[in-house]
Amino acid sequence: MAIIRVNPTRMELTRLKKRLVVARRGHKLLKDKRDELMRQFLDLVRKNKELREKVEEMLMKVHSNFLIARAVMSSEILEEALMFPKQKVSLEVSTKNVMSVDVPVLDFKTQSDDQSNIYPYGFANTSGELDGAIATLSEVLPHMLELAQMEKSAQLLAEEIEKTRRRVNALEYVLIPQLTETIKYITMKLDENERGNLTRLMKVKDMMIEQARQAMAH
Amino acid sequence: MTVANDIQYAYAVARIRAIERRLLDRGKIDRMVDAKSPEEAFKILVDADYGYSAGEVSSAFEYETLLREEQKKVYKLLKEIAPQPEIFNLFLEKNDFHNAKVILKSEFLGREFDDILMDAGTIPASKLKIMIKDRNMTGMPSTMRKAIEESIDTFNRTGDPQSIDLILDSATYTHMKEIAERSQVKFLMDLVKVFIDLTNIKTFLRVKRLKKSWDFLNKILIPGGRIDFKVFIEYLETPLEGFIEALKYTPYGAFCEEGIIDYQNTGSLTKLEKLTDNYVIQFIKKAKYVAFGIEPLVAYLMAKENEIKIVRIIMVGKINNISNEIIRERLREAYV
Repeated sequence: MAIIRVNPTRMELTRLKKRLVVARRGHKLLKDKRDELMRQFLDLVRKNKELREKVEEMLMKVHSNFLIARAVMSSEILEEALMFPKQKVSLEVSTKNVMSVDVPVLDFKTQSDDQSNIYPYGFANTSGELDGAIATLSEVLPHMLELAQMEKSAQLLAEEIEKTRRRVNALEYVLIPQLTETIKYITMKLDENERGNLTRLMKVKDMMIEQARQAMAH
Repeated sequence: MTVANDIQYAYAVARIRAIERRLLDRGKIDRMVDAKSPEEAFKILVDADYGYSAGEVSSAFEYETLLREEQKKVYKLLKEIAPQPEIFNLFLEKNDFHNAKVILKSEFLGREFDDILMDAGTIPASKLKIMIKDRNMTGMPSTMRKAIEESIDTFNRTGDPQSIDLILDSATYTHMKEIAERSQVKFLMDLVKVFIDLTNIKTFLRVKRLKKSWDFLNKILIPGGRIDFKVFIEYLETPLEGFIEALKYTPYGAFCEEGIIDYQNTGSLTKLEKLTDNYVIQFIKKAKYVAFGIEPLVAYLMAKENEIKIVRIIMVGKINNISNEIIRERLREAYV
């Protein structure tokens, strides 16, 4: 493992030790965050799957209803019937914070609450089959919005998970080993110096004793 | 308007009798339903000499073009051979009203929808557009003018696009009734009454399904039919059995009972809509025994419109791979 190029001084050692402590704590926190994100993500994905299947089934129903309505009316009449929508929907987008991820929250309001007031056409030329298609379609809209919200959230969460995981890995496999190695290196270097120093002192001491002895002999 | 002498119709009726044979019969329709691909079904149409450009339209997906042309062809033929072509305005007016709806809605939406205008009306769509745009409607029938003025006024007050359809739909039938009465032909007067009653019955059931108030129902029922409004209003809040009972002694009793019971069981109006169309065909079949008169011409027109409906159901079904049973369930009876 590569070590950081630093001066092997005591000051540097203290600094690195501090960094290591911070890195370890960060690593633990990020790991917790990742696990929690994962849990939420899996929950969301499960719900998302259910909802998607439901919406798809409903849309299939709408589609087949429309097809049949289309078969019993001419295209001009069908298009005229639907060209001017009666119901208006306003959509408000706000955000919600899930584990520091801003996920969208879609809130929609229909202009009129009366569910039977969504048909913008007259009844004389249109087929009853169209009513069914429109009703199912209006029923499916809230679910579709919910689905959109969920899928976007899942996407954002997935991104966040990936980012967090990359950070966790970087800490775990790069920064922390690097720091430990460097600390080890500095400690060794310092110890080496210490030993060198000691030997030198002992040598000096020996030499001084030698000198003293010679002086005594004279 | 005086009624033309029945003898004047001799040529027209003879002509109709000759081309009537070319209507798609049960056998051909069955062959279309059983066709394995849209192309195969389409080929039967081309063989039946549909439209003008049968040879040029190569793809089965362009069947709508062919149907539109065929409709135009029928109107053109009838106007050509009928001694009193203006009577056929009775059946063309609904296209004018359709165009009026499209034009009004486009204007209020501020967008162009010229591609869904129909050109089979009595007033050319482009002319109608200018008339409505300039609010200069002196050239059109008074019922229509009043209806258009009323729907502009109502829309400006309420902003409700449905009101345009409702007012103009009602005016369509009122106007049809006027033309029929002016022609003094009993067959036409009866036919319009049948139209109005059947439309009212279907509307009633749909309004009931949507749980609307009788006030709303009262507004959209079309006056002039045989069945009194009171019947509809009375049964709006009560179970359908009472309504079936009330219709029992009208000419529509038998099939309405069948259709409404099916509606109660399945929640779908498919069967009833089919049965009402069948009733109209049964009604015009009387014309088969009329030697001279306008009846066979009207019957031919209705038969052709019915046939176009049948063809559309089959083609949509074939193109979208709908099973033959579902197609058959919705097929109307053929005239021949």
